[in-house]
Amino acid sequence: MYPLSKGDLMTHTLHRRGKKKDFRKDIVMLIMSSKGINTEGSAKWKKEFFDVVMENGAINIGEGVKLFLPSDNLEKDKKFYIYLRDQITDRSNPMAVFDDPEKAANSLKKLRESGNPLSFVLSGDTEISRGILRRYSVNPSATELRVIKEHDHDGIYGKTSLLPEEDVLEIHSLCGHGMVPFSLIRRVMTDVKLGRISPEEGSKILTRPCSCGVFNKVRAEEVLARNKVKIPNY
Amino acid sequence: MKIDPDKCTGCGNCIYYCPMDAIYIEKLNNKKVAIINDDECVECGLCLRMMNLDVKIPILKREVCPTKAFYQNDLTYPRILRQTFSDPTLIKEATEVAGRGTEEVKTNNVTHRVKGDEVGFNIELGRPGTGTRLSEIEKVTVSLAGIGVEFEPNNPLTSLMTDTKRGLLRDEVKNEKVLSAIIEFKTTLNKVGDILNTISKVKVNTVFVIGVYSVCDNDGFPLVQKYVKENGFETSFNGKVNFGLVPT
Repeated sequence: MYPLSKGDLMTHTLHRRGKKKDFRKDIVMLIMSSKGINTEGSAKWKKEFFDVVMENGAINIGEGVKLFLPSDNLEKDKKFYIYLRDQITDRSNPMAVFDDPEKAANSLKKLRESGNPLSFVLSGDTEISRGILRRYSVNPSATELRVIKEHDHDGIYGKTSLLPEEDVLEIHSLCGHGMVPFSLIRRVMTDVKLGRISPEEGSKILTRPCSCGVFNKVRAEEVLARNKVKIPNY
Repeated sequence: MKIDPDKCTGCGNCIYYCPMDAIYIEKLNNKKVAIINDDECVECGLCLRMMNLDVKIPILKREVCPTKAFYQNDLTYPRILRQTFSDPTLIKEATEVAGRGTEEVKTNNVTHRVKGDEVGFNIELGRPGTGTRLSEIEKVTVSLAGIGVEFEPNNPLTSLMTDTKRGLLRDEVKNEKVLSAIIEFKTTLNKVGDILNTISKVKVNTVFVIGVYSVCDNDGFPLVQKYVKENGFETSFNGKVNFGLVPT
């Protein structure tokens, strides 16, 4: 059973954390229609998006309006993809996560060839995104960036003493709605560190609370593997 | 959100599935049970959704709530605002607030929401992971109103204001806690410095993040980047790039 509930979902990928090199494995692509402009009849283009990103090796996908229990293995779980694809309507805002810029670039190439007229967003390292677009002579229309102040917590303002360790924050930021609790991340990190579970198993556990489809389990697995968090006594 | 004490076995698995750490174990009539701290709970519904998944969690050796003890009680105003802002599965028409926020940068290539000399701001309080009282958000909206910011009308927070010119929220909503909420507005690029200098100095008992967006120059760089740097701030290397694949 895949469906969780109906919703009205907008995800947020701007505040993903990590080093620049980590973003080579973290490219989020969204397709959107705009209310009152090109929403009517957009479902066929959104379904095409789904087909193309799946053909090109997306590691996570979401339909963008309804929430779903994410698949543990998208590559093998064709039923999940077919189910999710069937849910796409004009209101959907499908999204996909790639762990390789080439996969994102190949997807865009295909979408461009078919003349897909909707709006797109590439979320990730903007240098990578611009590079991909340049290949196809596409100029970015607009870009959103985080604002960072020197000496602050890398773009987090206010009472930063409330924040957990950076590794915990990094995994937390991979969910667009902040649905992966700090306490769960710490628990999984501890269990990985003690060898009770593998980083891959840990990553699967952390993927589940984020059901919009933008959690990057490859990056989560890498953070777990380099786990530096002090083990608490419990 | 509530837990039925008769069904709860006090196993504590659910504690890991509360983004606000609002669930704790207590002895009630000689029996260990999980309790939700109502004041800290933001009604995000994650505990209930994870319970309904019916999936065994390897590290916990069983499901999140094997006895199905969680249930969603009826929420009334103003408490329902917690759910409105915190539960991404909610259909927002059913609540007391209007608007869902804009499509912001995501469709700018067709909406032209921000034009050449404009900048869009998204200031999200409570993120990452700490949550926030609406009273903390008001501290920021009041500061912004003080420098003439006009808040986005199609945004849930704006609809909770009694006075948009002063950034004041309704009194009865101020103690409500939410996972996060976004203050949204647009202005002109020459005001970027004033705004950043104002909001970065507001003292709040939560955390917040700032996103800015504008159209791009011919090399693909957003115009706002220059204005951010001129005022002593930096921009992230990661961001959201909007484009269309066919000419509009």
